[in-house]
Amino acid sequence: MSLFEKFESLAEQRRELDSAGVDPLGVPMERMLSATEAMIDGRRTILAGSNNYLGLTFDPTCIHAAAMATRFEGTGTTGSRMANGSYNGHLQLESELAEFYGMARGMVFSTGYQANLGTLSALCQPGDVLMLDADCHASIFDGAKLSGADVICFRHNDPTDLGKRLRRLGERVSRTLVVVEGIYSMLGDQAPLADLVSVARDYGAYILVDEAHSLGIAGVTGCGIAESQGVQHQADFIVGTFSKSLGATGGFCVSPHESLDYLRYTSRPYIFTASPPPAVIASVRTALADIRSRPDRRRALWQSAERLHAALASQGYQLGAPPGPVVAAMFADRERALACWQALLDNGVYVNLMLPPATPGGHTLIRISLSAAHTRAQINHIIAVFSQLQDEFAQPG
Amino acid sequence: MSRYDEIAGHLRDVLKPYLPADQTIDDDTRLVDDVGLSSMQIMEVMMELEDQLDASIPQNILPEVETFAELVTAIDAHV
Repeated sequence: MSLFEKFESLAEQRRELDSAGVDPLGVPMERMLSATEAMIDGRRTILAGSNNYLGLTFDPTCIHAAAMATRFEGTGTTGSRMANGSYNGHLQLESELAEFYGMARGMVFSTGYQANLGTLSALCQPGDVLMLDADCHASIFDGAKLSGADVICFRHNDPTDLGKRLRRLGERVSRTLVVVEGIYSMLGDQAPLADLVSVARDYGAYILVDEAHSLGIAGVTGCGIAESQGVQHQADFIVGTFSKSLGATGGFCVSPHESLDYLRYTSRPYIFTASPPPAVIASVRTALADIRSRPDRRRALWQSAERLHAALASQGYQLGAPPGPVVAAMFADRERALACWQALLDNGVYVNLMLPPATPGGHTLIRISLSAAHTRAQINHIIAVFSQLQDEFAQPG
Repeated sequence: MSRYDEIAGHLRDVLKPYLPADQTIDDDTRLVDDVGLSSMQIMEVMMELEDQLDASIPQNILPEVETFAELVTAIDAHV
């Protein structure tokens, strides 16, 4: 018996992938060329699996801000804010995020994962209840686990099911936090947030919305799905990430509750992690300003999403959700999905391969994430490659 | 019928769609190793059980559970 014995089934799966000559879970990017292209296996490849929704990773203004911050403030903070203090940028970014969302308080975390881990584990404790949408991201489940609260799941995007489970809690509902997402990353489907928030409010539960995949993409000002569905100011907490539309790494929580500040003294993932480095904070602040001033990027993204979705649907691919920044083609057969993924890469298109059990319904997914930076020619190429492969891989809907 | 038997009956019903054709369930059946339930399927089983029993069953009971009987006992302690 060894520590590594538990990995044997994983090792077997890895050997299968290796024998197929494919490693979809760790593709080497030999050289980044732009927000939408990289050299992979010596070939210029379109990146359509990066979550780089607005293409800001190569935005000259963001790069300049990051470079200046590094020059004048250094490469890192070398510790947590509790120990090493807060840089001006940390405080400014928190203030700007709170103002962007129209909330009283904002708090920055070092990664998006830690934003959920740090918020949920500090907000809830044994005796409290966390009511999670069944399709919530792993970071939400992990934060829930760390909290020690009772975890109950409700059926994905189902307000009636949520209401049924809140009813069963009786008086405990006043110590219950409902957690949902704006756009779910696997299939790219949107939550019926207006209905979910209404149910949570009717029962007297708190509600947290994770806008990781919707910040910068939805809503009049780009705040996300809660804004686009008119319920942003009914949310108790909004969590998000810097690693998608904002083009960096990190995360945040904003809230109308001034008590959010107490998490700074109780949230272990916040307290015991080095704070985001100056370059990250500077580029994120610049990207946030860009989101507020450049709605044209959102429009470009949605136009590409509509066009790609319509094309793939007409080619016979089974898609997981209505048009959006994430377009997921669903496969019942893992080997066919793997072969399709490889064929796409061979034709200069990098997408994500998502394997069960991390996927809804046990499907294997080919997941495309679009960017405002994708050119019309790049979208055309992606559509053309899928078209070449449709006879072999498209399934009747 | 004891409470244990009632919960066991519901759990058998809920597990039916996940069982291979020739598989039967007894108290010692391991839900992951024998039935092959994935984490997502276990979540689905728990939601369905909550509906059948009209009760809240926290997912927190799962780390201590390996077999059919252990799950029934853990649920019995919670509802």
